[in-house]
Amino acid sequence: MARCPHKLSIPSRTSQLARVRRAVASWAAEAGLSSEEASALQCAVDEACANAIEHGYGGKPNGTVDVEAKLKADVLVVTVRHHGKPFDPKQHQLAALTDIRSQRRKHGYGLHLIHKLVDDVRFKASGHTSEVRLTKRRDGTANGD
Amino acid sequence: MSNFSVSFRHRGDVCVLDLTGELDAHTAAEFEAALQKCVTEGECKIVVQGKDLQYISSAGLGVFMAFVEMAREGGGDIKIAGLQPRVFTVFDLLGFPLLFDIVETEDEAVARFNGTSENTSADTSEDPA
Repeated sequence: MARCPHKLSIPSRTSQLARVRRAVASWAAEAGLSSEEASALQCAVDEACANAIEHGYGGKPNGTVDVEAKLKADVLVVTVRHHGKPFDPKQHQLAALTDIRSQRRKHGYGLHLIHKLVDDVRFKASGHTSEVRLTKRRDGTANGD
Repeated sequence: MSNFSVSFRHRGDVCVLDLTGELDAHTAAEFEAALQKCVTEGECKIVVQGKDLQYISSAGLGVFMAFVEMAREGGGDIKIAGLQPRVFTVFDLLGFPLLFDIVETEDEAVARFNGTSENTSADTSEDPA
């Protein structure tokens, strides 16, 4: 990744999610992730940004979501930050996926999807800033190395 | 500008929804409105043609989930056809193939409304890895 880290700030509007996905795809390609790895990371970042917009800012469009990508050895780390309602994972017991499905719930799949798509997920809240750090391992085959 | 569209057509008594583009937290409302229209008008045999669907997030999956029981209670189902591998992967990771009839072709999905292989069993399976 020649220009590292990459940063993108978007207004807290879901219409901006496609822009985030384009940026992540570009960063992932530059970092040498395979197409499958890039797609997985793209979706995980999309979910994290959607959560920031819908839960962090309650859907209000006047907030900012910051997305930053750093390449570290064989992993690409993408951090999503917002400055809305703090998210403390200790206060949110993740409902079992089987329960969510059996209840035919419309919501509740995003965090499960994030955990399945990337290799590591870390949450951090400090003051008015909440962040989720998503780590995707590069398998080293995308560039034949 | 929306990068998603949904259009309707009919094959006999089956309503086919053609999805194009990217279904995410922004565009899910458009898909929700389309499924709501089908169910409200009593058209509960629904095939979602996904060959031109480039992307789906959990918001899009949630819309499928919100309407599947309504369709089944109305004597139909929501069957899904033609998904591209990267889109199917998202369905698969969340175990949606346990609940939905997901097939390769639209013809197969339409044929299944003629009395065979409806996947309406209780979801008691383990989560996928």
